[in-house]
Amino acid sequence: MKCFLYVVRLRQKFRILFGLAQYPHDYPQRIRPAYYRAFPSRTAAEQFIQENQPIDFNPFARNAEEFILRSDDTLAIWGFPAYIPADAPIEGTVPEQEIVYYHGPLSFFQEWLGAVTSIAPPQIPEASREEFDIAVQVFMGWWEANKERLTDAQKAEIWRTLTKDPWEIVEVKTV
Amino acid sequence: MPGKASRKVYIVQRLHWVYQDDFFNIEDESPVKAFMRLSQAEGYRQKLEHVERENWSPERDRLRRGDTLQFFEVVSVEVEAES
Repeated sequence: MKCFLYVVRLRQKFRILFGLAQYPHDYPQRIRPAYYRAFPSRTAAEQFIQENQPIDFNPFARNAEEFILRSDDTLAIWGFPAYIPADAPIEGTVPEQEIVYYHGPLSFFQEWLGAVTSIAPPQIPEASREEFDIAVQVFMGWWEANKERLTDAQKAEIWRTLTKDPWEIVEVKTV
Repeated sequence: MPGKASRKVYIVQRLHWVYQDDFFNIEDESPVKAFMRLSQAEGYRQKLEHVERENWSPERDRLRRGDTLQFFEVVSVEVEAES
């Protein structure tokens, strides 16, 4: 009889962003973030995914092209940003990745973030707005500065808004 | 985080190295099989490692036989009890 184990882990892009990729001279002492959880059934693994967000990690850590502040002060995000009004423009969809490409005024996002967390949202300095990855830098910095003040529920809400499904389940045969 | 750790398993997984100019990065990891005992997992890892190294192509893979990179590793994971 075949038995399987169900490993829940972050999707590849997050595992890379959070330190999976290491230089070989670090191997085998490379740092392994605690992103592996194992369950005896798929049901249990799916329940974990439903109930948990990877709140120990910075939700703004992502490739700069996924989180762009444009010259017209709109913020473009790959994801399902709940703060965007229903009639906001949708630039396109990537069905196979289950994502939608929105963009909307930066102020929408700042107001939403402030409302969810009761902490002043970060402002992006005028002088830095031409930098390609400035939005990622600023919002990542805001998270790091405030993560001790944020509740787990607030962290989870930010994760849910920015990322539809950060987890994946890998079925592993056991011996 | 819910769930109580019930037992430890040892997962053998493949490491996907990617050459980037002058160094290698791990691009992904693929769990292959899980074992109840570390000794079993390590034995299986060594078997897979041997086969992989026999099939090395230095030109294709940009690896030398003396390189210490492993293609497979063993990681231990606690299996959480059903809630």
